[in-house]
Amino acid sequence: MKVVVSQDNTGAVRRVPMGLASRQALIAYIFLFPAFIYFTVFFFVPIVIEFWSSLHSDDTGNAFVWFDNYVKAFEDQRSINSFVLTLVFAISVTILSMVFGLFLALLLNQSFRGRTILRTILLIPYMTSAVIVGLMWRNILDPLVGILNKVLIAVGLPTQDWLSNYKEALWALVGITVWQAMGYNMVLFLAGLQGIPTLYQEAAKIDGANAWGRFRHITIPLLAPTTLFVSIISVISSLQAFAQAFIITNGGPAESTRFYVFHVFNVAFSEGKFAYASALTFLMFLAILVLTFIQLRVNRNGVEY
Amino acid sequence: MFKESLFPGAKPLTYLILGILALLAIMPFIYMVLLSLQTEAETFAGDPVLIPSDPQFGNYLDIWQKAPFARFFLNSAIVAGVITLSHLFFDPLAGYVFAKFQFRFKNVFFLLILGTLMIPFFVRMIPLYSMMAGFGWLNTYQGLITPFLMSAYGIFLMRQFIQPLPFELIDAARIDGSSEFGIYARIILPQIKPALATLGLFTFVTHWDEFLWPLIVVNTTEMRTMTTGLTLFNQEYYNQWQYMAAGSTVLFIPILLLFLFTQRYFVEGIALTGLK
Amino acid sequence: MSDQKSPVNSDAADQTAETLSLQKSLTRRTLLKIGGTIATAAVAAPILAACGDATATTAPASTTAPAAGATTAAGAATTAAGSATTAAGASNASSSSGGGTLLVYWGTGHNYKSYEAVRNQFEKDFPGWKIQWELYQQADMHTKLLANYAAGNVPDLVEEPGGWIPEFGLQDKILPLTSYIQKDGKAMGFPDDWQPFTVNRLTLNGVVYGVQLHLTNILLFYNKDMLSKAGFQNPPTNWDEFLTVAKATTQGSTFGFALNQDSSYAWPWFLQNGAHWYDPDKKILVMDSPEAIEAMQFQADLIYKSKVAPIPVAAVSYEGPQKLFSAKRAAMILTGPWDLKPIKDGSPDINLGIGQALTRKTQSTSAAGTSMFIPKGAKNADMAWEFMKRVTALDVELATTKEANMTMPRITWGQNADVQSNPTIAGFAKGLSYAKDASSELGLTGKLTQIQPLYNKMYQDVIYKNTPASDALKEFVTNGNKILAGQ
Repeated sequence: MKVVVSQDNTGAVRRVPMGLASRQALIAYIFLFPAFIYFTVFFFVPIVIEFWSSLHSDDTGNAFVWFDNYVKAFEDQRSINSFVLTLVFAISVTILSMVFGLFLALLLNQSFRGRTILRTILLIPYMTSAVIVGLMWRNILDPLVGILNKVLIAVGLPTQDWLSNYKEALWALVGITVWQAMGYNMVLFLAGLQGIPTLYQEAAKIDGANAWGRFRHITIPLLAPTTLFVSIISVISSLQAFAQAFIITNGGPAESTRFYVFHVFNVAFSEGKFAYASALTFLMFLAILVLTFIQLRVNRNGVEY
Repeated sequence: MFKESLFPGAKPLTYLILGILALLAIMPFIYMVLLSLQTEAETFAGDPVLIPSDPQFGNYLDIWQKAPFARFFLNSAIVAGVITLSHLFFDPLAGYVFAKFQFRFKNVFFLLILGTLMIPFFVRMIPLYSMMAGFGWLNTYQGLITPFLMSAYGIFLMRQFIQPLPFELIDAARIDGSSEFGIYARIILPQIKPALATLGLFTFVTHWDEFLWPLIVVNTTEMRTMTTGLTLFNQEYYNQWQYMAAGSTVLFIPILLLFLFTQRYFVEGIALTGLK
Repeated sequence: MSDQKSPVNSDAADQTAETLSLQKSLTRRTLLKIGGTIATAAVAAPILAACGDATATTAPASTTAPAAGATTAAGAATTAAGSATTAAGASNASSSSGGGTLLVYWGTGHNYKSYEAVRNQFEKDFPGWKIQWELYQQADMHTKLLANYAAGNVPDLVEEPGGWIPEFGLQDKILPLTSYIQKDGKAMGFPDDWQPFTVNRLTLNGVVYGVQLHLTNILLFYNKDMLSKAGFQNPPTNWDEFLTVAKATTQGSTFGFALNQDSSYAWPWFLQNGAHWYDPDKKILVMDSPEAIEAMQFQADLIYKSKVAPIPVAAVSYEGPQKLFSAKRAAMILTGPWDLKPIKDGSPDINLGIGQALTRKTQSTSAAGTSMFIPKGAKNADMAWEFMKRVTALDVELATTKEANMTMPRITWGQNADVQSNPTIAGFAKGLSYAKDASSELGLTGKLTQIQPLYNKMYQDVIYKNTPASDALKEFVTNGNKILAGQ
């Protein structure tokens, strides 16, 4: 019987009869067909249109200008600043919210009274609408009439300007975003932890491993698919952060929280420069692609058990 | 799930840490409810009012009358509900393929799909809008729903959770003569219940809170969703925060219910029995 | 891409199958500025003719509507469409049922009962017609309009916050109102009864594109009690007096003044010192003049030098200073009639005084206020115009003022006894006589939307980072002039 040797992306090598392999491929294509149609119509076609439009000028006449808009972007100080601050924001948020999320998931994976209620409560920041979250934090962080500074005064600590200070505003938004994302990452890590059979932990304990050892050698490796997912999604979505700037700070003060997507949205819908906005978007797309690719490569060998 | 502590002495520390975080986390909910009970004058006041002196429970009745709130609620429910169901059907199917099948171009397709996550929505918005106009689907449920039937996020999530499942499960089912779709429905899906619950919850929340697309697609007040409907309470230079908060509280409840409902899928660990 | 302008292509787009029109609409997207106006103009003309019929059959009760008569139908079909080729084949294809839906985009903040009365009367006078009254916030409406234009799917009437008429008008996306004004102008008092600059700011190359609905200006609100406690019975009238009063009322956590995070509130200072955006002869920005620098630095010094004002909170809304004022943490703020209600409701115990604008080189302040326009390609332009006439009637203006303290552009409004006898409103009415629209000249270049963000950045750099005004303004002018030069 003719055999096909294949190695899938978990690293496992499988020897599969060739008839089965091609049948596999056929089933795969059939199952993927709806996705294929959907993504083509609703993603690839619009994206190609937008890319085509980015090769034109925004001025009257819409002349075809090749990659002028892209070159312009690299000379556009405001866009560059936007991108840099967004990158800083994304990395900080990703690291912090993953650490907090995992930590919470570990704590909540234990059995104790009230864990269900606590789990629900911790998700409330994520479930509340962005407008309310924004308004609430703006009121809390208001340097003159906000509660936080009042508390600091009462405790004797120095007050901060928070959202009025162009050096602090971005970090205030990092804090708010981590606070919102913690619960979300917690749920993902919880789902991942649930997928680790308890009998592995039991077996390790019987073998004499302590908590830290179990964590290092069983939990972390087996959580790898979840961790990879969380980190990729976190980077991608925080690089595209929009709501905080749109609802809370309007990109200020002094453009210190002018997230890249917020900036591009304004270029398109406030300034009316759609072609340039498309070019800016595709440049960011390339950046995200590179970052994601790096993360995927680092995690190439998954684990199967 | 551990029946005992993560490490010796973990329990009291757990309670402490979680207690503090829970307090931090519950702030917006409390704030929202307090805000919803304020009088309009209090929302204008210079110093933020913490405890309203004269709680206006009537605000909750007012919102149903000031705008067709019930209709907004229904629209949001239909749109988010159908989208979520669609995701729960199609995303795991594609995720399964990427996790467990080998075929040419697999990685290319996967990266293409993953790539769609990297383009912010508003970039596709105008061509999509023209498309909907061309189909005659503006201001309709189809127009609100079809751009969101599947997502790379969901497919990626499903792939990650299906990947660790052993091939033996699938091979065994094939040997038993099960159909491919049967394997998917009866073997794979039950194994990833926590992931499905997560996907369902997140998808619903995301589309419950969707603003930009309903803004441009909907042309009449009756077809507005909650998010675009709530902005009716915003005046030009000041917002009627008490109504926005009351509306947001009402918006919040289905999400809470949905979360409580999906709780049980997060509960048990998966013990793979009978397979060594 | 320029072939999209010819009616031939647009007819093709409308006649072919759905998929082809889909392709056309998708590639039309890449044009942005031309949008869907061409294709929909072919559709608009027959319906315009029907609108003409509709006005002829009923007799509107309102005194502002002219005696329309049947002669308007023919006139409407040939002139209102704005494109002679499309009107020709269209006039008889209309529906003579005399009914339809008027799609109106209106600001959420201006949903007054007085306008509800206008709508009800309109629907009564034109049976079969329904007004689809859709409320949006300013930024959302702009986003939605851009999408509408791109797909050729525009509303009939838009209430715009200011600046959109030059923006869209220069892109040929607004219906010129010339023929309507010729017909009805005398009876409704337009443009004669409107403050002149409100007509000029909506006129491009001699053609009027919109009608001003509200006219507001920014004046000095002050807390009478806080001022009298510091020894001042009257509000300041010039910058020096202002600084004196501000210093005297600043103590502890209370400030004499509160600046707004929104850069448009800086305009009174610039105007009072004689600075302006743009020199239309030299075609460059002139905001780096000594007057402009002095005005901007004066504001920054309020925060950083004399410390009579706090750093504004970065936010999306304008309510910061009003909140401080209501909390009695600020003695004076610069704002307009929109803050009357929040202050009166939120802190009724405050003894509110409204002073006229300060004088430096001149007494001036910035004017604002919404206007209405009809997008090109609107299906029911005639009825939209009819509504515009009704909603700007003098009695409607007076009713709105009574209801919401909103100030109006009609000269007779300012002279009306009710307005004059209301101390608050009379103050605003007086200010309207010297208020200016700061950005109208720059608006005519069509580049205002691109220069506005640079202006915002300049303002925020000075206010938040304490960048010297001269540096920030020079940077603004340099970058702005690059945009004006087309780079």
